[in-house]
Amino acid sequence: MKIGIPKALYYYEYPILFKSFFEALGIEVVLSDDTNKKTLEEGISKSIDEECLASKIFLGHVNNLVSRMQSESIDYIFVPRLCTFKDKKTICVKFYALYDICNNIFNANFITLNIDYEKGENELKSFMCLGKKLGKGVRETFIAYTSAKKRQKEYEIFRLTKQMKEMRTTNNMKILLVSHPYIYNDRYLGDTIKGYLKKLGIDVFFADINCSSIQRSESKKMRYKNISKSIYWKQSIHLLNGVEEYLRCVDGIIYLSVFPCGTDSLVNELAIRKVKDIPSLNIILDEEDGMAGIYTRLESFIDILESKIERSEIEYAKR
Amino acid sequence: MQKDKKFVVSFPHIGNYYIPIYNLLKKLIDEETTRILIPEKMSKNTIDVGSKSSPEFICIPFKYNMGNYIESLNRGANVLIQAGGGCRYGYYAEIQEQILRDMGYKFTYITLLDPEGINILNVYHKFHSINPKLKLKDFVSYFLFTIKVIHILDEFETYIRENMVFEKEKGNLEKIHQSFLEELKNVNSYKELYFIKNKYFKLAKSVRKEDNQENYIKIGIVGELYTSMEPFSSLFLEKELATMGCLTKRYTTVTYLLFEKGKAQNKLLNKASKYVNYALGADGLESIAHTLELINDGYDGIIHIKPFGCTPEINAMPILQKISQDENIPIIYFTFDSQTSEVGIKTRLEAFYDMLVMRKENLNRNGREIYG
Repeated sequence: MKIGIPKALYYYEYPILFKSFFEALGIEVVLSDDTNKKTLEEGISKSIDEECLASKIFLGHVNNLVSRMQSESIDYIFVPRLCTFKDKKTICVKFYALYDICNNIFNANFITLNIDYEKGENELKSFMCLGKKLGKGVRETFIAYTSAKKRQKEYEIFRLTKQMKEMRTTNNMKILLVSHPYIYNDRYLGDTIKGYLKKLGIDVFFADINCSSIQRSESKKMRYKNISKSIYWKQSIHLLNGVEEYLRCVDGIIYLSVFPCGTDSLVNELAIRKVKDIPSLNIILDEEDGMAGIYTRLESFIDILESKIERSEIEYAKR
Repeated sequence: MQKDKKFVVSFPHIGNYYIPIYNLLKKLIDEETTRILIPEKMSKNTIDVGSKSSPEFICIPFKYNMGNYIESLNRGANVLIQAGGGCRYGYYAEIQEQILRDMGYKFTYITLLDPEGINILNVYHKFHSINPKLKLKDFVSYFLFTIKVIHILDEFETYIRENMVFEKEKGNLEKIHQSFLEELKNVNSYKELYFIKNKYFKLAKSVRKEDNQENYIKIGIVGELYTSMEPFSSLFLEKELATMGCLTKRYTTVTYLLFEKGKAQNKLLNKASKYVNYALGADGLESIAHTLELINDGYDGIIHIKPFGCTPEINAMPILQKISQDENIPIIYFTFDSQTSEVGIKTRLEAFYDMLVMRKENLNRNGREIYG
């Protein structure tokens, strides 16, 4: 059996979990191709013009898999429905409907996983359900789920220690990128910006990779409350936790979002207003792919940071 | 100049619901220290002021709310109320408060619904802080009364919307509607309330002419709640349709949202099971299920409305497009933003109406559908 996973949105939220779950069940996993101009064009032609750029790209990836389905004999395309989580947390509304949208747009076999704590569909239960749909036994599915979960956790810790180590050892200018993993990891959206910053000799760190979000203790998980009290989106909470945590160790913050992201439009606005003692830049990507304007903005932002560092060094020397 | 009261309470507009809100607040406050300020009528200025101080691509209800708040603050308000709720709406309050404070306004901010859902005791404590004389018992009974007022307001407005096209003389219902609202504002007891209800229903029925429903084009309106309930932001869509001679139906009212939505979920999911398996967030599922229901009831066309960037409704749109193809029914999509002009909407509406008329004539004459 073969299952295709589109390399967008939820794939980057759980880069290991889904893939290793299927592999542990002895199912081959195929990923869609990296995002390129064609993916975007196909995605745009399949979607409503007001949809956010990330979900247009997602449809492009699904389209890529659907077109490969026959030739590579892919049985199912995996599109989970993520809805509500523990502690009344939710996720961007787009994720509620991905499965139904794909079913209506494409004529292909989709398989889903419904995580909806409010309706009593917790993670374990929904994975067991998925295993049953794939014709696997209870024991087998359970073992696959626990091992996948473990590997996801290991990966998160590995990612975190790597970032922490880099942050301690580097002498370059440090910038915190506040952005969803499906944006900054995307070949088309984030890579150009990351690459450009690297070329300028700057180390980029990611807000969603932080200690607070993988803590067990409740009080440490709540760092985001300093910025926003009433927020309930899981992904944004991770990002704000990261901002709180790295605030004092970086030189500047870049908020990177896509047009017109529902959650970021509010959360970034609030973060920019509340986090004041550090220079920040708000970049919004859209489907026009002229990057010159963005490079100019990045460059001048870096100039400001450099002059600020210089000034504070001079002041320090005077004292 | 007369010294203003200590507290001046204001709230954002949504449709004509400022009347039950005003009615409730009037009973909750202490007349000596507090005054209620009904926000200015929605106008071009409201949205201009509102969008100037809002994030760039936030949905339009946020901008209208901001406009209402700023206009009220400029007229002296110092206590603001926000309802709160699901989707992005529940998160409005915190951002709005921050933006207004950054602009230099000083005020107390009250949110009725917490993200965890409504807690009547919490709401009571919040009102208690501005009126220490308020008793819990009275608070609860006023609250229940207001729910009844909302119920009757919805019932009457639904009647008006659905019968506007049958008026004997143009403008009759409009007048009745206005004086109904005026009386409802100061209603104090259940007895008065029922008296008003009976009186105005009788009046409204007396100006209705009998006509065969078959002669009219029937159009259903589905979509996001704020744009469908706020007449200014949906640009009097229904009135416009009535002057053209269309029967309209719309589902979303506050009564529906507060009391019927929760129960209806499973039923809606059943109804829409051919197209969707799960809820789409906010009112997305409603849009789908209601569209299917309207098609079943023999409606000629559907209008789908939403504010710009409304994710739940955008979720529903590809599915609506599929339904439109499968069932061969015309659906027109309207998006409202601060830039939307009344003329543009009117033109599209007229074209849609003409198309429906031609389609119906053709159907009657040839007895077959036109495809494509």
